[in-house]
Amino acid sequence: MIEIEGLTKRFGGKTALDNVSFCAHDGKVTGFLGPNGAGKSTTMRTALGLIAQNAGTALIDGRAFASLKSPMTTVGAVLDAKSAHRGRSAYAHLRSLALTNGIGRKRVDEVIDITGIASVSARKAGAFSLGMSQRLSIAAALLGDPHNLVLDEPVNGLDPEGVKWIRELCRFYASQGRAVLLSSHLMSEVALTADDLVIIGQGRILETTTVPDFVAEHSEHSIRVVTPEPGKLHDIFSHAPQVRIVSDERKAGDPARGEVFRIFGAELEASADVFARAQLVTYELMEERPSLEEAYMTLTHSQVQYVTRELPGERPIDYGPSTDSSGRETAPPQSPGETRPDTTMGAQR
Amino acid sequence: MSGSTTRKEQSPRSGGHASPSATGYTTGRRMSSLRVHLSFMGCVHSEIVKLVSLVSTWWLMGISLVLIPAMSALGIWSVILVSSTNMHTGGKLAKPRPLAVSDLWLQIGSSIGIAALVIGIFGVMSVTSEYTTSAIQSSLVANPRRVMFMNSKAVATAVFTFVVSLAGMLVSWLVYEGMTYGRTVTPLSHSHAAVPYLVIFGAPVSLALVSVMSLGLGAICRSTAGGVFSVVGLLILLPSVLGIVSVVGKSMGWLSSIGECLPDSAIGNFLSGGIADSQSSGASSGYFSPNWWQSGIILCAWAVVFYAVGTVVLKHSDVK
Repeated sequence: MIEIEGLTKRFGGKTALDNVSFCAHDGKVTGFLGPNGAGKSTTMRTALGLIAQNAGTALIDGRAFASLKSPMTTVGAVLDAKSAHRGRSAYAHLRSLALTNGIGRKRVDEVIDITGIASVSARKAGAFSLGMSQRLSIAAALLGDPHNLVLDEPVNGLDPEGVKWIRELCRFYASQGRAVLLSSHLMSEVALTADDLVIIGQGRILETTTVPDFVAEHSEHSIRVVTPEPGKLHDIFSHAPQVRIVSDERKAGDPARGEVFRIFGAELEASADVFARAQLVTYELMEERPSLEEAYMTLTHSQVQYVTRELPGERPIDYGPSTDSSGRETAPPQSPGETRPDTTMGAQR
Repeated sequence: MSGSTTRKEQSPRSGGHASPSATGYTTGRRMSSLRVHLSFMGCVHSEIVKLVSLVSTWWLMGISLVLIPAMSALGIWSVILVSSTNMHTGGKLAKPRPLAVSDLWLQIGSSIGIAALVIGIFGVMSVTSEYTTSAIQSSLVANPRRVMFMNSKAVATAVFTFVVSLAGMLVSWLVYEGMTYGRTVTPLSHSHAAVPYLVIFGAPVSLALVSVMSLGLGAICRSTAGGVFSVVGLLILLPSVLGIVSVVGKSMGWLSSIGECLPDSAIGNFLSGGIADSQSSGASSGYFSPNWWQSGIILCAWAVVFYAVGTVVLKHSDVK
């Protein structure tokens, strides 16, 4: 179990972590999400004693990491793909790590076989591709068969087989009663792998919840319709105040003609019924289920640290006001080189 | 992981059920924390494996092993040359003067200065290579106790340095025996009888202290360029600068005292074993000039201070 309580860290004038508190429980995979620069890696490194915090505690199985008698059997960490000396062979790297904790050769060979780098174990780590380096880091983490796993973007550089393997590994270890803390940017992977979610933005925890709860709470379910008769569509729903029709951009799978709309607040079956009776021509009618990606982006849109400029021909990105965990509205980030008109609180969407 | 060999962990795909402990994903009680835990000797063993596995180690050790006898040979040869030169005419003497054994051992002892530079680079790199390749992350996650980490590194580096330097000194001794074979020598006086042993065994100890000192410098700088520059600066630049300044400012006799306390002078004085003390007229200015065993203590002090500062800096630095 990994317990983080009130962690605060400042680098110079910048607050990287601001009172971060959450718990990665045994038997669960905890997904740790956030935009680039939010503080995910900093949190993990602070928990592992690589960075000294200004305030707060980080306990692993009830003790501070530096005080553990057997660090490698308590925590296995994948922090960076490239964390082996370039001139050292993979086998020597793993052996040197194993020796510190008294782990034998047999286990080193076992771990090399598990991660599939047996054919390159004698090669120097500098000659490894990104995927191989990532596997080497994972091998180092698994050396002590640890009770807790801390994985910082472990699928970075892995092929689809490797991504699936990591997912199954996380689920297997969670089923064994171990705690897995996994940070990732692949929303689809996190949705399949994680049970609990911790979302961080600009050094502050935005939400701690479970995957199904989060998806249900933060995204709206809608019906997508493509029709050549927009006027008729608006007329159908003109008497229903709870239904909102919003025009949407055409996506790759949409038909070429007709206008695209999203209908919020209506049921699929009832709408299909009504369209049939009103004889509305539709080229596409489907229900859009909420996705983790949408829900996540809705929450963190305004907490993005590195704001990119929009591509030529696109509308400027509107980050809009968003609320943080205490319900306060915070100022949206600015795109570089643009002066945005002041969006006052209470402005209509 | 794509299947490459038919191993037990693939049998779930083919329908069989391998027990988890057979595949290595769980290890039952094999990896219990009673059997598998952090130990100092384990860390020293780990550091030795780290040093042995790098090509740069073997290059630096090989260079030291060659450099120490080579510089000794050069020194001995210069003594032989002087002994067969007529001091007044500059020509060759018909019958060479007898070689003073004390001079010879003095030369062998002073050959260590160059090797100290190589050992200094070795010591710096054993720490800074971890930082430049981000290997420090995996090292500190396996062993979060930073003082133990530094200590084990210091022991491994010092032992490596000692063994290689001792081998170099034994070869130097063979070179000495070979080059003085058949020549007339004035043996050492009784009070200096132990000087050969001091040189042969004291030189590896001195170099081991230099390696520990440069380990501390490397931990302070945490970059290879910074660490190597500080080692070069301390062993070569600073003495040169002091030498130049003391020529210019003749009244500043205390500068030569400072010069005597720098690491390179300390090594040379220590390994002279009192021969240089009795030969020189002493610092005319009357300022402090350490004798041989005081130089040994000064060398220890250099190593201890830099190592301690380096350990403290490493303990409190963040690994981003």
